Amino acid sequence: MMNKVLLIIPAYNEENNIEKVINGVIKTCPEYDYIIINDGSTDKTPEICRKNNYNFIDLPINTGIGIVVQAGFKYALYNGYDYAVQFDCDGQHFPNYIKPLIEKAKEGFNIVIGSRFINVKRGHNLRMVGSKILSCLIYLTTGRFIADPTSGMKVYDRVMLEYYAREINSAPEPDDLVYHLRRGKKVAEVQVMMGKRHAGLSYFNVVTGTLFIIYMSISILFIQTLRPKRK
Amino acid sequence: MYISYESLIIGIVTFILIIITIRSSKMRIKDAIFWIIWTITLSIFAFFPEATEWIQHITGVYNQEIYLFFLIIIFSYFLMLRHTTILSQHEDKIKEISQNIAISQLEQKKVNKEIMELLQYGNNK
Repeated sequence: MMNKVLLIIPAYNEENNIEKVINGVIKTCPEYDYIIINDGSTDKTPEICRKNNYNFIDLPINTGIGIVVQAGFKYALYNGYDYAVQFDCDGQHFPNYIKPLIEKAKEGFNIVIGSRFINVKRGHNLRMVGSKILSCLIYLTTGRFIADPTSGMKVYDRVMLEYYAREINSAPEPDDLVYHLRRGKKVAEVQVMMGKRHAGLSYFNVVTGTLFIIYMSISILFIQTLRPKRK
Repeated sequence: MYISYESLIIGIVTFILIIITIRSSKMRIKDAIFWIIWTITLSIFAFFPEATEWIQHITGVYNQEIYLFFLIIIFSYFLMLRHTTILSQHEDKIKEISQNIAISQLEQKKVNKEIMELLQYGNNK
C-alpha cells in the first residue's frame, strides 16, 4: 500500500532560495506531494510561486513558524495524508534524506527527526552550546537523549498530524518534543547532513538565540513537565 | 529564617492557576512565559530577605506590605505595556486580513462575472 506523504515547506522572504529548493524537491522525490506555505512574505516569494505554478498557500500576514506549520498540518489532515514532513526552504535541508526518514517512520515511530549529530560531533560555537543545553534538559526531564532537538527536518505520522492540526500549544519546537516523549509517543532520529543557507539571514542572532534558549528551558522545566500525561 | 509568606503564597497560587490554564489548553505557552517567570521570581525572592532589602533600598519603599503592592504594580505596568503592543499588532493584523479578504472577494466576483459572460456567449452562439 502506498502511503500519502506531504512535504510542508514554510517560506518567509525566501525569494533567493525558493526556486532552487523546490525544483530540487520536485526532481529528487516526485512521488511525494508538497505544499509551500508563504508566511506573509514582503519580497517576491509569492510571485515566484505563482509564476512557476507551485502548489502553495498564501497567508495574508506574517504569523510565525508554529501557525504556518499548523496550516500545513490542517491541509494534510483534510486531504488524507499519512505522513507530513517539515522541510525548510532556506537550502539547509537536502531532499534526498526525506526517503530514509519516511522509511523510519513506517517502522511505527510518531516523530522522526533528521538529526545532524548522531554520528557527527557538534562543533564549538554558541549555537551548539544552546543545542547541548536543550539536549541535557530533555534528557533530565524524559530520560531520552535527543542528539539534535532544534532540527527543523521532521516527519510526523497521522496521530501527530491530528494533534498538531488543532492543539493551541502546538509548535514544532524542542519543548513540544518533551511533551510528546512524556506522553509515550515514539521518537526516533536519523542521521542527515545539512548544508549552509544559500542566501538570506537566519532569524537567530546572539540576543534572540539566548532568549530562545531561556524560553525553551523555562518551558521544558516548568510547563511541559506539568502538562497532563494522557495519551 | 525569614520567609515572606505573602510573596510565597501569591507566587505559588498564581503559578498553579497558570499551569491549570495551560493544561486545559486555554492559554498559549508563549503568552504564559511572562507570568511563569514572574511567579518563580516572586517565590524565590520570598526566601532571600537580602534581595528584598536591596530592592527596598533602591526604591525607598521600606514598608513590607506596601512593598509587595509596589512590586505587583511594577509587574502590572510592564504587563500593560506588553498587552498594548500585542493589541496594536493584532488590530493591524485584523485590518490586513479584512483588506485581503475584501480584495480577494472582488477578484472572485470579477472572475464569476467573466465566467457568466462566457457561458451566455456560448449559449447564444
